[in-house]
Amino acid sequence: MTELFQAIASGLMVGSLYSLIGLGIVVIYKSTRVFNFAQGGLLMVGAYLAWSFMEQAGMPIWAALICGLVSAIFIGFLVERFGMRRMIGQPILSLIIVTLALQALIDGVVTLFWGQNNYLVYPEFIPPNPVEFLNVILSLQHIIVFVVTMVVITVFILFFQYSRWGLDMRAVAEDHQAAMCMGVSIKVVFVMAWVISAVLAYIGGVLLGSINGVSTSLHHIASNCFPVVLLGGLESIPGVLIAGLIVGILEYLSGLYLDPIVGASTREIAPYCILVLVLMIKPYGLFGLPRIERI
Amino acid sequence: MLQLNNVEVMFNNVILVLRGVSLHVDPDCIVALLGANGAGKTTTLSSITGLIKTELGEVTEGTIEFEGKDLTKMSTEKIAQEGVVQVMEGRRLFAHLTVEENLRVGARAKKGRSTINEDLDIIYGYFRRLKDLRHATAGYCSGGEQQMVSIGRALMSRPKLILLDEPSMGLSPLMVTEIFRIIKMIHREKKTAILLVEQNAPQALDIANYGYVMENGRIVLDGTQKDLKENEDVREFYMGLSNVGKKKSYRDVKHYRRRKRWL
Repeated sequence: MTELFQAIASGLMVGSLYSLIGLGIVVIYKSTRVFNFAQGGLLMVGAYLAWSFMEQAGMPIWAALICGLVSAIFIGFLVERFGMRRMIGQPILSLIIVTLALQALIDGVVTLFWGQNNYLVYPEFIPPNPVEFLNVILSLQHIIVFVVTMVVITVFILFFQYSRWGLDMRAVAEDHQAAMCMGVSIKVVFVMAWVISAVLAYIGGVLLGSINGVSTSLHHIASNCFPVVLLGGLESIPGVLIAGLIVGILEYLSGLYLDPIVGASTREIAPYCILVLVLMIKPYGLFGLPRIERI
Repeated sequence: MLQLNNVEVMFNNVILVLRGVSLHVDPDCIVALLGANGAGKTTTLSSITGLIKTELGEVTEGTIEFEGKDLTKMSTEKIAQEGVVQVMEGRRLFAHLTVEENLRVGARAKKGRSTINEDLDIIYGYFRRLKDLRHATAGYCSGGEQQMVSIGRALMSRPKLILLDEPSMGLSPLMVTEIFRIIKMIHREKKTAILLVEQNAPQALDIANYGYVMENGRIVLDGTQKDLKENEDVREFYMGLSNVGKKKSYRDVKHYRRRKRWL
């Protein structure tokens, strides 16, 4: 029984990290209708930059984290300015292809600057002490991840529902041209979406890096978030939260119960199996908006 | 107020869509722009608001001036803030937003936000039905209701000039009458200038003060409401009114074909 609780608790913690990373994809999709394949790349760059500021530049940890944040904002801005802005008004598919190119580019740049096969570790800034609660053992890192995710997601739900910027972003997602006609600046919305998303990727990257270490495999972990985002319904923030938690818990449960039966690791495929099942029943994901078509 | 001088619009650097369009809209005036499909009416509107730039089009010649400012160099959102708002063909609502959220987005073109609630009340005054639907998802409203939201959304920014692109599209005759009645009322009460693109020539000419007829990217005819309504060609080609009740022969049909194009 303790095993079960332990698996669920660990799953919740890891799942919340998926939600946080997935949120970056959702924010961009929600405001521009672009599925950002480069989210894993942005996350990886964020993690590497934070490491460089800490270890190579020798900054104190808080300064390194702030420098990393500023560079993440800058990267988001650059991507929008030179990758996305020229594509405004073009078919969405072309913009999605640009994000694929961006992912390849980031992979190359990271390899160029930080090398291929090294495994970097942050200096310890979150004490790894385990915390015991009702017989369940959790690391402090995971708990921090969980709390950060909850706070960030609550803020974004409120932002999109009640702020005028959030309204602009939702309007642009619906119809670029109509939004422009109403005086909404698409450029500002695109910049905001990409900067927010880059910052989320950076937060995710640092948290992930502090748990798993920094390496080029980080963006593979991030691509585990694609099923999370699809399961949640692409544009729903509560959706990405719940889907992330579901996927996290499923990974741990399948590791606990299915692995001994199958005799191999089922963690990797469990989310995709669930995704297929859910999409068969709910094609727009758990909380996705159905496409409105008038006949 | 709005002045187009010899405007040429080219798409993709090869397709010449407007071949020298000149027209002007006076303040406090409804101007109708008539013409068959593909004549370039919508392109004319899009070139005014700069939307053609997103479709790889550009104004290659001529000037577009609004209150003395050159619009060809401005971005669409800037033009909207100057007070020129286009109601796009096919309504183009933000389908997943509620009716009220749609209207609130419309207020973005206006500087300062203090009057949003006041403006909402004015819009709900014009379109009574929208008040009941304010929290409904816009995409599920009926065609007529969506057209109301679309026009209301444009009014939220208190524009000086509204470019209306086929407000009657896909609506029942009763709803068309209703929409035109409201357009006329808005014009009278708000003193907003309107440039109206329509296929429904009789309805458009009923409310317009002045009209232009387009064909093949050119203005082929213009005149006051009265002139156009009495013009034989307009009556024949756009209102289907000539020779009513008279006997028709093939010679007339040929004559019609020969005279179908002015240029």
